[in-house]
Amino acid sequence: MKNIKVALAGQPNCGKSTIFNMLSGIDQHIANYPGVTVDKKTGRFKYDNHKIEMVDLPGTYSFSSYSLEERVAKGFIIDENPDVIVNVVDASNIKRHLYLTFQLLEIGMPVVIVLNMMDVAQRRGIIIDSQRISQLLGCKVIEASGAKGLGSKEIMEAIISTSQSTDKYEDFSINYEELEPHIKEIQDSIETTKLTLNKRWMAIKVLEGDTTIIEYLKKEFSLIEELAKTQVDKFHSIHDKDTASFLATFRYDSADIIYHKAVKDTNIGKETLTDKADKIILHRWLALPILFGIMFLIYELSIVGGYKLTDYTWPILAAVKNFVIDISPQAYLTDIPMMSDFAVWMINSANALINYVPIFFILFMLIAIMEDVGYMPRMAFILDRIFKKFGLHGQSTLPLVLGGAMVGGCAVPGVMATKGIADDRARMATILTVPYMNCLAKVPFYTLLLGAFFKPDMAIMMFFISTATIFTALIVAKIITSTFLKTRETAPFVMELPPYHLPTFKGVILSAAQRVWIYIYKVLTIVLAVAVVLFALLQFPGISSESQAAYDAELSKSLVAFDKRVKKSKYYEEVDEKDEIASLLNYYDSYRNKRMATTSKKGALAIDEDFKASNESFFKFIKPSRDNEARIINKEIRKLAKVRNKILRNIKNEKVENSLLGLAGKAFEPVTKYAGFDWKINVAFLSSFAARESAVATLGSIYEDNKVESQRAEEAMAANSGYTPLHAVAIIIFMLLTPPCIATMIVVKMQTNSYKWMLFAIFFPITLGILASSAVFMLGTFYAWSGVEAMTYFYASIVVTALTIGLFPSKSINWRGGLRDV
Amino acid sequence: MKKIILSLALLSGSLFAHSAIMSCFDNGDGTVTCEGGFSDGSSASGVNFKLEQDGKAVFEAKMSEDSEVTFKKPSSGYTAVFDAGEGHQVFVKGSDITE
Repeated sequence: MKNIKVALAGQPNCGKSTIFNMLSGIDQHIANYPGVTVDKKTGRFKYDNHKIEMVDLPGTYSFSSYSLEERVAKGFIIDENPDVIVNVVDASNIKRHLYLTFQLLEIGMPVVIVLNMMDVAQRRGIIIDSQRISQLLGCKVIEASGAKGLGSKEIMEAIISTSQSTDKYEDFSINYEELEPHIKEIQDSIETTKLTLNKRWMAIKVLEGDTTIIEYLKKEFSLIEELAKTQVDKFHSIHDKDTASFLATFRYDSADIIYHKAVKDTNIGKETLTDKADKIILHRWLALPILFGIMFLIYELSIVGGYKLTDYTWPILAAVKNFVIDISPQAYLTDIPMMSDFAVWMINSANALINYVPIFFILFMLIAIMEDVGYMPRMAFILDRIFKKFGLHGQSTLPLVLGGAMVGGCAVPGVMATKGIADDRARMATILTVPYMNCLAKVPFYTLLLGAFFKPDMAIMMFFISTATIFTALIVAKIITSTFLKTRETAPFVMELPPYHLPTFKGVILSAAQRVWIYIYKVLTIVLAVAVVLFALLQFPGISSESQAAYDAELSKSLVAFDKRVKKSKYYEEVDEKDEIASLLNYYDSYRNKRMATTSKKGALAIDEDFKASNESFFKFIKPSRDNEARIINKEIRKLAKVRNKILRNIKNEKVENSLLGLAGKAFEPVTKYAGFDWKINVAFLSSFAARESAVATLGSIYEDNKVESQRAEEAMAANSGYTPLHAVAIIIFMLLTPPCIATMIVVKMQTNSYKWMLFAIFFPITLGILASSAVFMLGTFYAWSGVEAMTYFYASIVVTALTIGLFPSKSINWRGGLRDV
Repeated sequence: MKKIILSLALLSGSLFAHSAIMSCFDNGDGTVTCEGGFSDGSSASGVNFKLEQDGKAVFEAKMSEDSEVTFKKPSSGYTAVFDAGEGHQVFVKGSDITE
């Protein structure tokens, strides 16, 4: 049984992936080509006693070395030496696709041509004589329709028989007439190469100026570049022609010959369905509303709909969490074993991320549908002119929308959706600006602040917050592309609007599943690793021994009070010992946690049964019903639980304050004071990025002591010159600009393939945030603005800046030369 | 009070995003306790809570430091609402609250 290595090559939109899915089944493995973020899809399967390894190369229009995809595809062919190249061709666009076919044939490896989308060709009245093509080109030609699942067997047979007929194979070569002597010169000079590739092909590539081949050959022939230049110049001086375009013309002419000999188009010039659809979809006035409509639909289905789905998946996660709590060492009053703390922390981190899976699955399915249908390039086409002004690309639309162009979104799928953007600079800019959009998780934060400081103006403030983000994203994009990303590669702006296709169900599900798996596998693992580090950072050095003593005293006081009050109950003996009280408290907490996770009446009853069965005497203290004696204990145990929770909270507060994070907060104060942030706000910010369980839940207890509980809150405010709405605005602005979460940072690293950019994505927004909130705070204090005024000025300046950049004519001088001292 | 809200607000903006959750218990003594939270373990103290009857809010409060609110059980039908902002709201029908 022989191993057959197959490479699938073809132009974009030829349906290569559908053919790939059809042939290779579900066992597909996606990785990256070494060092780049281009997907490498490999499928391994058996056919008729042969082991097949099939690689789906990125779609390329030709085999030069201008784009990353071309270089990657060519690199694969050189490095891994496939046995057969399967060239997938769009039968309804056959002439254009044959251009690549000739380039592939020239490589000198056996080729099998698959005429895909035969059904579309037939429908359009295009008649193809595939036998003739087969004879003309000397390779097997198979008719297929990936979308309809036709042709699979024939393709596999062709691959196998081709791989077994290598003795009958003669190197394919095009006669380039005038160029031949020059080809021979180069070919002779590389005769001694150790590379096993076809030498004539390499010689032609060298003359073309193909950087990949030249790099490979340079290792053995250091002067190859100069040699090439000599020949190209010679050719030019003799025939007055440019080598690269000469070669291209020849290939086009060859494709034309095939077309004329084997293809008959009975409907030339007739409008296709695609053309008719495009009349509406790309219509001058209808295009934008249709686009917004589609974006809105995707948003509703994935983020809003997906979020609703989590209502059903969340109880499962909660059950897992409760299970973990159950098997962890039990707490004893206010003494919580670190193991349990750690376990809860980790399961919370994991759950928070896994909770997102339903949303992502729906989202990726919708994206796959849009890609397959062919709407993505059209979206790029419609919005490109506007986005280009800011250094972005039409295809940045979807990532930005997903990141939260409306009420709220999520930057993680937004950044993951940037994969398809061809223009490298725009892709980087999109990745770095998606985090500025409206993060859904920031909403409760805004709501709380607005509720506290801006109750009457809540609506307008919320409007400012949600709409300011797109403008800031655009401005940041402009800044980044004009400075840090200036030297990045921009793709030549050529775009193809492929014909519309119905997506295949299998393709959509596969694509979504693969992307979700990458999220789980990569994001989750790294986040958990970070969570471990954060836990350590927050736990140590811990609370002082004086504090510990004080808390112990407080607990004792409550226990004494408890004891005194439950004495009168007839069940006193069951709770007169400390151990018993400790167990009861844990029982009570466990019950509450489990009830929190259930959403149905039936579930609640089941939990009650469980708990009753495990400890009937304790159960009556939780559910006393008419038993007045038990009622007494119930009331007191609830009070005790409250006291315990308060002590635990305070312990956590102190731990965080003393921790390294707390020290960092104090260290930043000299800088942040310009934004009105004192060290306590700093600590709160830092721990809000790190600590999920409101580690410093009552900052208030640091400022005022318990005395204030009896004082009216507003009076306390007035007494301690506290925070003003202006402070709140500064904080809101800072929150607007800072990155939403660690998961986002990790996908940024994944998509940019560099830690450097991830750090940039963390520190640039934070710096920007500090600068912006400082500016607003200082100006606001100086001019005595109210909170709403400050926000309005900020918003207005952002909008004006964005509009200016957008409307500014961006044409600049881009020519040079002529007479020097004219 | 505002200071407390401020700090609480800062802390609810957490590392990862979260779903809002709430569960309610009938205490059997004429009061009901609703405990709120977020799926990633964040506390919900300071978050708005209200009781709605016929679409109107008849009782409003904020979640305590323990992330809970205890209120007198209304005599007729009601809905308990945990409101942490758009997309983070939980509605529990009074009729579904058991002892």
